[in-house]
Amino acid sequence: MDSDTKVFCPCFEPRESRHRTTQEPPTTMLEPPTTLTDPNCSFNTKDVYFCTNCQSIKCNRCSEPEIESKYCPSCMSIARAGCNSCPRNCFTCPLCRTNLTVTPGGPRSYTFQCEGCEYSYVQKTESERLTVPLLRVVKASTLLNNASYTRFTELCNQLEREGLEGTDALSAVSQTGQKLLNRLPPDLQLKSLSVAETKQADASPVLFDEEADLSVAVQFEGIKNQITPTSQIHLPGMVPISTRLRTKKSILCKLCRKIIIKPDKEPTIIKFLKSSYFHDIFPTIKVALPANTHSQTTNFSMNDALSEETQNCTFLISFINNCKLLTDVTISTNQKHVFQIKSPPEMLFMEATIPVPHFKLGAKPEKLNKPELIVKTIPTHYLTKNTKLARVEAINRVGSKHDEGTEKGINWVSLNLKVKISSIIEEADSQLKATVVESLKGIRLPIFVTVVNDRCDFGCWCLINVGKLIEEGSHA
Amino acid sequence: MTYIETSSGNRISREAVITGSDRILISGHTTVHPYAYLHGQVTLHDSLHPEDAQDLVPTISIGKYCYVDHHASLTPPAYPSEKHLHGTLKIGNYVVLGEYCAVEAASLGNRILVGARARLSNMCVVYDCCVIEPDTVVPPKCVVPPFSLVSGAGPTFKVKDLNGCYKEIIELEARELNVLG
Ligand SMILES: [Zn+2]
Ligand SMILES: [Zn+2]
Ligand SMILES: [Zn+2]
Ligand SMILES: [Zn+2]
Repeated sequence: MDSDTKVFCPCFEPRESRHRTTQEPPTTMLEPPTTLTDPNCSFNTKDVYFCTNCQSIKCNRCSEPEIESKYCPSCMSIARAGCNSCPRNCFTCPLCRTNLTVTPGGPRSYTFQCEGCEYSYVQKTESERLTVPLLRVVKASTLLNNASYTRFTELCNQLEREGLEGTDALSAVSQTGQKLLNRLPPDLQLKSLSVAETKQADASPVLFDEEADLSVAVQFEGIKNQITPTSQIHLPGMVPISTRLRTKKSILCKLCRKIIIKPDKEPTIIKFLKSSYFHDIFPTIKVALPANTHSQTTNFSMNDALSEETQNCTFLISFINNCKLLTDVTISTNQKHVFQIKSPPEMLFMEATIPVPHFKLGAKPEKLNKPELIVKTIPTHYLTKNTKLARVEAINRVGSKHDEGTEKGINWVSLNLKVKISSIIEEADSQLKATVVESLKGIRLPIFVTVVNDRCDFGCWCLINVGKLIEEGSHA
Repeated sequence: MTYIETSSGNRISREAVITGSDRILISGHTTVHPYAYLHGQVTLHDSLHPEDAQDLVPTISIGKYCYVDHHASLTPPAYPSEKHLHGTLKIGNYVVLGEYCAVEAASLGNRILVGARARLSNMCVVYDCCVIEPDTVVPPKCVVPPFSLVSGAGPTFKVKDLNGCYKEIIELEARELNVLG
């Protein structure tokens, strides 16, 4: 799925500048918010919400979840309020997290078998028929058989006896922690960082090694023999884990406390009693190299982009209405519809020009259930030659392009977005160039998009991925 | 590459490898690409069909607007105790199966995206509105609840919440793929 465009949530903006970035229509000079380039402040448009009351975007920081129901993701049964484990007997494997199959393994015993690995576990019970949930039996026997658990219980009791308040105990723990930290060699942090790096670099495909697998299997067999509760050797943490519950949540606006999302409580029902997703009101923005430059893409590389002092590249930007209402879209720039951003290395400038900064997006068809209608909602650039329907549609659209590459469909508009990248590197220093090229990969061009229809009237910053496209061009 | 187009809008590649085609049910508007492997010729467990009527029960059923990319493989789940016997594989509407993915699941609900090379192991169940990321290995018998974003394999296997708007996004994606082939 495309992740071309990210949307900016202004909730982390310093208070005094926030008014400018939310509801208010942009003034003549559009100054980007201070946190615009912070990757933690922009989101995939599918992951955020829209508060109709506040007329603003809501991310996970400026919205609040409220638990509607808790259920077991294995058997899909709803758990009672306050309960934290499956009301039935669902357990997961402590080694590989696969669901365990629990079967009566003869009189007064239950066998837990993992389908994902060799793990198995036998639980003895007091009586023939279970009167308490199996989970409690497993927990109780764990406490009985496991020395480390007993030790922990003793410790708890001791703390209680000594009348230590929770806070005191905590501060004692944190003091110990601080002492331990102080004892760490100073370069340890650096070391752990380098470990993390090598791990990333090692992400090559894992090769199948039968011998190694066999030895692991033998190892598991060994573990299996050790963990029957009857034997005295009991590996801590190797008892079945009770399946963690999942929740169905409502989403509230932190500012006005109105409900944004309310799902049905039933785990298997996918209906919503209320839903206001950002994606449903805001057009999808896709960016590509225009269709007529397809032949040139092979010659286009990032190095080319910097070979001259300034490089112009044209992208095709498409806006597709996801809303069943006729929508007014304004792409705001400064007065000349040109804006500049200084990208991180501070030696690159981007100027974007949009020929038509204001346009109407037709409503998304009420019922998108016919292939003949679906094909009409796809911008021409994205039509393929694979099916007859798509080919016929492409032929019918020949000549529908307006000046400067503008094209309009039932619920979409495609425009040529001209981006001028200028670098201030006077002398072509290859080393420096390489750094610039590297930083170009992540360049996102900010545009301010205002959307007005019967349901909403608001604007927000979008970050469109132009750097990635240049990279793609160089790969082609 | 040629496709057989049926009256119900299915497009099935001639290069797709299909066994037991009379026992595979495809509802309509579904695309099956070259070298996709649909293994319909299996023996069903006795409990799944009336006596002597094994052939009447479809082994694989696929809903509307599904998309089976090249080299995706679909096999009905095997019974753990009697490996030669199989259960049925039911796939709902708007299910997109990526290239080289392997499905041995018992059932897939509606509106599911399965990434390239992902593996849905034996007997697992995926509910409605889920995205299985590329290269994911869903363990055997695993149940994936609605609105899940699933990734990783073994110790990195993860199930996260997926936003509710994916209900429409996935459906549209499947319908667009039907049009674009
Ligand atoms: Zn609000
Ligand atoms: Zn926010
Ligand atoms: Zn359960
Ligand atoms: Zn396991």
